[in-house]
Amino acid sequence: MGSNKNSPNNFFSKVLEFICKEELYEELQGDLDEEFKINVEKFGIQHAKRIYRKEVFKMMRPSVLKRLSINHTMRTPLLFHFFKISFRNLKRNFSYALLNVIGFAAALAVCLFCINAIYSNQQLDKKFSDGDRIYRVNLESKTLEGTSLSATSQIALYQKIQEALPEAENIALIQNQVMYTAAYLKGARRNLLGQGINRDFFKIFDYEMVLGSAESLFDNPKHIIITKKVMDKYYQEETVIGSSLGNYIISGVIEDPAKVSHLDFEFLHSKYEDHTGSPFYTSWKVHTMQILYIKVLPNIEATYVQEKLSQLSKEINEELNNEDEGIEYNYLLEPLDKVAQSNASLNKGALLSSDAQNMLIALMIVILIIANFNYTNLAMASAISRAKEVGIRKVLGTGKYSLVYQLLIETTILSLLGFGLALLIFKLLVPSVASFTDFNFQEHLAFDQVLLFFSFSLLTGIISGVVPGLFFSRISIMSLFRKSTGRNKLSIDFLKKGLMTTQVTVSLLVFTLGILVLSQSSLILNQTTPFSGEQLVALDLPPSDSLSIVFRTEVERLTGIESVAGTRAIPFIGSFGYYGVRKQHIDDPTHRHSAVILQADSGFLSTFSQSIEWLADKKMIKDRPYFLVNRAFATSMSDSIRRFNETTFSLGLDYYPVMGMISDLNLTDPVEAAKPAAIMITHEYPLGTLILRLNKASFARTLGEIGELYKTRYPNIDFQPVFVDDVLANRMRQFKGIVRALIFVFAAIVAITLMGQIGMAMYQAKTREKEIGVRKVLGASLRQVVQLILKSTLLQLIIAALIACPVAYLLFSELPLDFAVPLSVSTYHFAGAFLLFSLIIFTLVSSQTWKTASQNPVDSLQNE
Amino acid sequence: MKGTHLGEFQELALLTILVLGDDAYGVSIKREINKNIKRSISRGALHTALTRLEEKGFLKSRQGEANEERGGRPKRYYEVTNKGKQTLHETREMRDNLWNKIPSIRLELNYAS
Repeated sequence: MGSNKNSPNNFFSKVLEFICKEELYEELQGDLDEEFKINVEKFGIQHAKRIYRKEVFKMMRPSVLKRLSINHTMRTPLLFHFFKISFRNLKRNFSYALLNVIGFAAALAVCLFCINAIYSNQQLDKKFSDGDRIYRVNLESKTLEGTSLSATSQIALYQKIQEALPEAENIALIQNQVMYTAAYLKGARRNLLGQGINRDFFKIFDYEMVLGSAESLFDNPKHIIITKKVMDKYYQEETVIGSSLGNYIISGVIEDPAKVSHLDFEFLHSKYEDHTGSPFYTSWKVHTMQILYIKVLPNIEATYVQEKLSQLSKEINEELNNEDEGIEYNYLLEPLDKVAQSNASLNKGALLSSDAQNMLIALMIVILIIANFNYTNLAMASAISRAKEVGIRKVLGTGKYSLVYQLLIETTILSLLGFGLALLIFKLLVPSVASFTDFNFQEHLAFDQVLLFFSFSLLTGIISGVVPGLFFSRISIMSLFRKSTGRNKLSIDFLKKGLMTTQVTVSLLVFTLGILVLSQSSLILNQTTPFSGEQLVALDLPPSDSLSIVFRTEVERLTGIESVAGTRAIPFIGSFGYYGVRKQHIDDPTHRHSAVILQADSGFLSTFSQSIEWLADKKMIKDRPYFLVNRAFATSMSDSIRRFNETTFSLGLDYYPVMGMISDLNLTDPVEAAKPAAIMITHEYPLGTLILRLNKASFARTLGEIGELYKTRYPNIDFQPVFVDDVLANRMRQFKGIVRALIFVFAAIVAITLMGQIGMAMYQAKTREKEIGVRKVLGASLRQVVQLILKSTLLQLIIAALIACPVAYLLFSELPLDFAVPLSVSTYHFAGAFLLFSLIIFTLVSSQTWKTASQNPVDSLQNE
Repeated sequence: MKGTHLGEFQELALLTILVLGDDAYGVSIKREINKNIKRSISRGALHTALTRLEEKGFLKSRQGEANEERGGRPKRYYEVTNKGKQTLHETREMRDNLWNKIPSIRLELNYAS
């Protein structure tokens, strides 16, 4: 559709040429061209093009349109006759037709949900004012491990950006520091996800306030704003303002953020921790603590701002001597309308990244192809069963296309019925599906989505009518009456068997793939971690060395405390920065390996004792720092000269040994394969976070005591214990959401293919009705008849297995993801899938055959 | 009667062609009609009217010159035939007769006081 700037739209000109009578075309096109040039001068190019398009549309009138030659077989009375026959046929094979329609409708309904999920995701963040000026600042970190993009950035970046970017009208901060607050609501302990924000947050994200005002948040550090969902769950609208939630007071209620934006939180508060005193949190290596958004001043180009940001990145890298460690930070602007589909890690909420959306679209295409195939297969099977009828009509002289039209009308009616049913299923199920997944669902469909699926249904109906129709119109009359030709020609019989085997193969392929994917998912979800998090409570301490020591000593004295460990930060919340680790036996100072390091004190050993596999005598440790590493570290740090336990490592200054292994330690994304990681046991004291193991029996009481102590030592700071088991469970939250969606989609695909199988079983039973009748007359028992039918089914299954299993294996191994616990595909998986599938097929075929075989043979033999 | 009946738009088209004289072709006819009736008509609607008029014998057309503005495509000029002119006269006479029959008092504009 590329048009010259000053010429009318090529596409519409072609439309005019197509529809217009030949003798009129030159005159009319010439007039439109002349008028277009006049309009361009009068109204401008866009308006002129609009007028041109309208004029072309208005040319669709009988005096202008070409007369389309209609095949004489499409005269109205004949058309009406075809419809009558179609309805009669559908009534006769009602259950078969119904099955076809339901299977097709189910496939379409699943795709409607998928496309709605994608569409809903793309509607996020559209409501904010001046959305085109809002950007998120992502961090791209290049390390020796590779490049990664993160939605979060370092705490210290905020001040740098304020200084470097006067073009930023507002800079909004969301701090991840406050993950949960524990409160007793409706009699049970609940953890609510909250985020600390600054004043500019509401200047950028102008959410609707349901109750109260946004400004009230900053009047009092104890104030919080909760979401409507939280209010509806735990409070009354009349009394919510002023009610307490844990140590906070509710001063406002905001609309649910996940419904309209990419953000997801349960409450907001203004008092985010001031970490400027903490060397750890303000370290540039820690980049999971905050998310930064800017609203650019009007009339400033985004590219200009990006250039300034790149300049700032360069300055930061120089200041930190990042090159020495093989690290580089780059700050990248991401426009707000792209954030919901961003591939940046730590993108909050249940969003569909563009990778996930592409996967969903690919799945949808697979479903639609299978649905189309199923439908066409069943239509073909149905047509084959009417081979004699077609033969007689051909003998009586029916035209080639008459047969095609007949089948076309039948299949199109069914496919459009399927489409209607799919819309109905969607409307009925959308509220329940929305609650089953975390995804945001719009309750209504957009017009072009409906049009897309209507077109697909129409196309399916046409293909599944044309394919058998053309086949029958070309085939010789005799072969319609003969079972097999004896020569190598394509006979009806061969076609029947081929169709059934193909259906079984496709179903088995889908089934096997489904089992492999679900096995992999369950492996990831059930993976062992060295720490269960049970009985563990983490507590961030404000930066004050002397108070920390006093507080820790007092806590250690409490009876309900089993052990105390000090760490640099709470493990498993997000990920830490990578260090460039040097090996002692390598002289080259630029030679580094990336690893994630968490510093902890010796209390770590008693708190997490079970998981450590010691490599050396513990007596050798004394006061020297050392590493406890995971398997990935051991593998990547071993080289041809020394193994990892034969050398020492440094993070910049001194070298320390590896004393033990925690094999399955994963300090990064639990879904993916663990990156090299280590706990560095240091005697640097005190560290800013305490991990406390509490006695199970007195958990609540001990927690209360700790709270009291905390209030005494830090009276102006809220006691915010973090339950480590909740943190671990939350790590998998997004992955679990994806797995649930995958289960839904795969179950739907399997159900659709099985419906195709049922159809085939029904068809098979019907076509062998007479054979079964004859055998019964000759004295065969019901069981013998069923066994005979199952024998041919077994052959189909074996052929299917020979094709489907290798293909499933190939497709599965093509998956580009690198999982934490990769599934080692073995013959057991295929054997299991095959056995289960065979059981289902045998059951289906047996039940259909049994029904037919139980009939009175007189009836089945009499009917002709 | 149906074959010789002149619709309102058809009458407009014939009159406009007479106004334009030798320069009566698609674009100019459309422009002139739009100017006079103060609303926009489409080229397609005009084409239908001109085709019908030609079929009834009120118009005849001839191919004109092409030019660059029209992408090298020729114009089609229209001319009112004698039959068309006669029909116009008859139509006008009929209207004038009706107008003359109306008492002047009935043509006065009344406003609420």
